[in-house]
Amino acid sequence: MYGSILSYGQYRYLKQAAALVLIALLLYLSSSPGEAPNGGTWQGYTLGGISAALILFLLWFGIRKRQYHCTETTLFRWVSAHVYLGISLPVVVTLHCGFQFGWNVHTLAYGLMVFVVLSGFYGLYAYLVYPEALTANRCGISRREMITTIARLDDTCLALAENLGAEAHHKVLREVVETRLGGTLWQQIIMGASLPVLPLFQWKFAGNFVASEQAGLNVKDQSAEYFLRRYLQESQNKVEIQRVVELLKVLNERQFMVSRVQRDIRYHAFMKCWLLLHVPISCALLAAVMVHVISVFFYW
Amino acid sequence: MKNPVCSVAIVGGGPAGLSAAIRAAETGLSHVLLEAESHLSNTIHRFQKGKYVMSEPVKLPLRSSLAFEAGSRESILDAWTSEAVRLEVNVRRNSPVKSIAGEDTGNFSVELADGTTVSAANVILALGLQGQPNKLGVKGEDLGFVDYHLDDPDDFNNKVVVVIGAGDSAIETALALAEQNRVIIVNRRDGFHRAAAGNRNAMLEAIADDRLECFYNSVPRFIEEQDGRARLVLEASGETSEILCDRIIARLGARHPRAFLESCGITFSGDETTALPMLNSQYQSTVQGLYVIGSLAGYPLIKQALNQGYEVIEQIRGKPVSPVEEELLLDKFTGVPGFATVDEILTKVGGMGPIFGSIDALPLRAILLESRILSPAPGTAIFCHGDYSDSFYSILCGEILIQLRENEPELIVRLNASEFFGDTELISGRRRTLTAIAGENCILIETPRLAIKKLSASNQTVAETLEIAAVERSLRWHLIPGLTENDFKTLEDRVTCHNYETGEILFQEQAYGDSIFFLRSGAVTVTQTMDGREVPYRLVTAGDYVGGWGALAVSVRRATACAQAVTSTVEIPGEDFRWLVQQYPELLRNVHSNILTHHVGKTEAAQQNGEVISFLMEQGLGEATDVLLIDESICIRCDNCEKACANTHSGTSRLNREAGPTFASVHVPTSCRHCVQPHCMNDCPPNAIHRASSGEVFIQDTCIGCGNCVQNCPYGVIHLTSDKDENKPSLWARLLFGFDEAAVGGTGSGCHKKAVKCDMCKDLSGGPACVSACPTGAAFRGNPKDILVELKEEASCTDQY
Ligand SMILES: Cc1cc2nc3c(=O)[nH]c(=O)nc-3n(C[C@H](O)[C@H](O)[C@H](O)COP(=O)(O)OP(=O)(O)OC[C@H]3O[C@@H](n4cnc5c(N)ncnc54)[C@H](O)[C@@H]3O)c2cc1C
Ligand code: HEM
Ligand code: SF4
Ligand code: SF4
Repeated sequence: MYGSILSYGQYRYLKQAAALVLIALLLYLSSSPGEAPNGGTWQGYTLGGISAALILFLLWFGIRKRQYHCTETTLFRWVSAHVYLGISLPVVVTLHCGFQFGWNVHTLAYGLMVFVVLSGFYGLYAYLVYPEALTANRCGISRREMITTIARLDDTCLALAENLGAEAHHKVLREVVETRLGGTLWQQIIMGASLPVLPLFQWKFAGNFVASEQAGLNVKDQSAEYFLRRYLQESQNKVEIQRVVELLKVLNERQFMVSRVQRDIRYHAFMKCWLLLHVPISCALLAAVMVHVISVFFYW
Repeated sequence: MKNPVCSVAIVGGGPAGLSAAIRAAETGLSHVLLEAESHLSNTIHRFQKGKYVMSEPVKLPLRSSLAFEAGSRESILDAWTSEAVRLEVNVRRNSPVKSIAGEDTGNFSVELADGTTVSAANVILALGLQGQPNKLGVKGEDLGFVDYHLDDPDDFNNKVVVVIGAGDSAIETALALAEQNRVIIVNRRDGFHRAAAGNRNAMLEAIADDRLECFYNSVPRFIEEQDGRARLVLEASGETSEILCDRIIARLGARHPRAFLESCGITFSGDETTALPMLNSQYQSTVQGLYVIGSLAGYPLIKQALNQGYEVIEQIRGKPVSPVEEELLLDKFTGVPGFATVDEILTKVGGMGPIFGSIDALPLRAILLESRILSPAPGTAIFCHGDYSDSFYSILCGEILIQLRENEPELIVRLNASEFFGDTELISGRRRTLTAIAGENCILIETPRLAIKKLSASNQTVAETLEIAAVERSLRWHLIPGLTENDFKTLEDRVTCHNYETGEILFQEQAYGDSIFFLRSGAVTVTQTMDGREVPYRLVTAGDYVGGWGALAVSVRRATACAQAVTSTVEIPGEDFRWLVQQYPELLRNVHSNILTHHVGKTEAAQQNGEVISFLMEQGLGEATDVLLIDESICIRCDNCEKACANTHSGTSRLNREAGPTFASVHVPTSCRHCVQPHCMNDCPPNAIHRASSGEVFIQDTCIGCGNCVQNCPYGVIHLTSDKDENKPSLWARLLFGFDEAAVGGTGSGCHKKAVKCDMCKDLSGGPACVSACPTGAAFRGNPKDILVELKEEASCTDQY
């Protein structure tokens, strides 16, 4: 009802960030043509000041996010500002350093900044894409309901397999027991995913060719499905064939539910994982910037 | 053999009965205390272990020989029991009373369940409200495995429990136990039709999810012990089967004590379930010598029960004391000339017209105790247009000016002594639609909404008076301000009042009908059929009307109107309405603009929208004043809304983001809807639930933690919890590792539990924390009417493409 992070307040922060970048550019271009622009000129100091202020502002967001009693301004507005000013930061910083890089603490700070900004971009992408994907995958039912459905299908499969002899039962049981949902963050992401996981890249691999090859990989000799399909080929007994077909149907349904839950978990992980880098590296950035500033003032 | 006659037999050993018995023992009055159970105070005995018992209302002084201070259940029960021993109270435990015969002081004969009788000159009935539970009626019904109530579900863990019954209490018991146990519910019928819709759905969902098992069409045959467990044999759809379990809990309803009181000859104030036994100001019933006290008499708190026990014994001893409440009453009227004694107050207020004139002294005193006396300076606004106050005012003396329209201050009605106002919002539960201003020398009685509602529910005259006033005020104050006395008289007999249940149809599309319906309370959706589907496009709430098109066009209805909450209307026949429109052209303009504003195109977007509206109505938005919705297509599931709620509310979140249904990416989380007529308020002993003037329904600190509101809220948004330690992780831990998990409802441990719910952050200047903490703008709170308008606007934007 309020628009998205990007369009907040009719792109108010896009405009402000653009204005900031413009000012920074003018400052940069105003430096006297003779000397190479760098942090040492008055323009350089000004740009450095702006960058430092921006970084403090961006970091402050982590604290503001937890000031739950301040309800006058919405966090939504803060995120919008954070994103646009965060994007403008690399431009301002690059102009501040005048494109001078080297193997030193100053460039380390620069690198950390770039990293934080890139992770921020990923986060923005995740926030814009996954909520909808997740909602579509849920189809109005909760994860808990999906899991209880799986548990019910487990029971049905096992009951059906019991009539097909010990080996079939064993295979189905193994499949049931070995199904894993969730786990460590990494497991949450890769579980049941057809690589590569990012839908951004998935289009490249779409098409029948890849799909059938993947299917070939999945149906290992060990799987209950492989076993049952062989059973189907060999069996002559009508009743048995019907049972196997029924069991395959239920197993399929179960597999479908399992991948839905895995996808649910994966999407949640996609929306959370990046903050584990974004925030700590922001803190490292703060430290690096402090070292940069101190060394500049005392040892330059 | 006949027992010797004692002066007083006291039935029921709860706080009320015990206080009476102790006073009798202390003063040497011959007495017997008859208690059904093997212990005293069964209601308190059944509180959760360690429950902190509160001594509300704080202002009421204690006048009993039994000490009582807020403290743990155990300390109170122990102290009372030893006090009874010390004073040699004559208690007969395990003695449920079956009947009482006798019509007058001096000759009552009290019959116990075992057939023995006790003779007494007076009888005090202090049975409480719980009633005797209905038993199973099969062999083994009294075995140790069989219970007829559930005190604390946490007492059971990893057990097999059979719950017998299909009503609300059986469902609640089963669901509570199913969290940690294997539960089997045994239902005599093939469904749960007797239960409230919320419970029924929760039950069916739990069965579908395999969280518990259900035996339908099953009747228990007998119960026996087998290897230390219980073996229940039942007949299920004609076949015999059996269940081996650890515990059987039968919830088969209870015999309400009312039937028992009536069998003793006591008259009640009416037929409604809320009616009370008729008592005089000394708690004596319509049968001389039979007294009713405690929760059975309508006083739901322990301290009141204790005081009444004491006062009734003093009355029987011939040393009557005036009830402690009367001192509080006198306090209220200090400074009001001519109201110096309780008698003066009761006779003068009682002579004040139809509302207070029709009540007996005892309920009148109770209602005045809950009221406030106001003497506003001339010109003071008592309430203003748009306020969310809901008290009822009676004019003791002086004058009140009512401004009918916000923008036309000259349009005024004057009310004088004995008249009342504020009744419209009492019925509608919505914001004030009028402004009331004090005139000269004005003294008012301000009565809380609930007190008047209870009164009108149990008193026919009051109900009728309010109804008659409502019809006149609906027409002359709201629909057609300026309607003359004469025109009203012509109309008066032509209009009719109706009440509709949720889901009932007021009128149907394509059917002939030309009357208009003015809504006094509730909400109605207006739907049109498009491509064979019902598409709602408008929500009409109290103070507005539906049916304008049909009334003016004299043709078939263009839409269907369906009640979305309990709705009461005033119906004006079409011909009268058309006549009115000729007399009052302003009304015509109003109807026209109404029809134009709500005209909808038959578009795809409107249809989709209609589905969302239908979904929201199913979620109870029809009776909501403010609701939290989450747009799942942008919600990043960070739970920051819950964290914000927990952080601003002593560590427990009052909203559960994940729970609740979703439709077309509109998610309705489990969170308070601030209902128009809050169900949670209905049965709160200390009256701790209120509506703030800005609309929020909140629970005060005087909550005693009885859990009634938890049961009464159909949306499951109230929890009992104790405040958590403020042991927050450090900022670094929270920043770097995300250590700030929110706790949703009921997780606080400890015994000092109180009910908590959303208060819409009424004390934060910026509004609800959940909404402002949402990083993507997915969470929003609003009035359902505005939300529907916004949905409609979104749809019409899409239509342009
Ligand atoms: C969960 C909960 C929490 C509460 N917390 C508080 C609180 O903190 N503070 C507060 O002030 N109030 C509290 N209340 C309300 C309080 O419990 C009641 O107001 C109080 O118990 C009423 O006392 P009573 O004597 O009228 O009836 P009861 O306490 O109900 O006592 C009635 C007694 O009569 C017996 N009896 C019933 N039928 C018969 C019969 N036929 N023959 C013989 N004996 C019979 C019963 O066994 C029982 O012992 C709470 C209520 C509940 C349910
Ligand atoms: C150097 C620059 C940046 C710094 C120092 C920084 C710092 C932070 C911090 C401290 C948080 C708080 C996270 C938390 O507490 O959960 C945060 C969150 C976030 N940042 Fe950045 N950030 C920077 C750049 C960016 C950029 C460029 C983007 C986007 C393009 C971005 C997008 C986000 C988003 C979407 C969030 C999450 C909001 C939320 O979940 O509440 N950041 N950032
Ligand atoms: S707590 Fe429940 S009944 Fe009370 S106002 Fe909120 S939603 Fe309505
Ligand atoms: S638990 Fe609910 S009903 Fe009981 S006192 Fe508290 S607020 Fe009132």
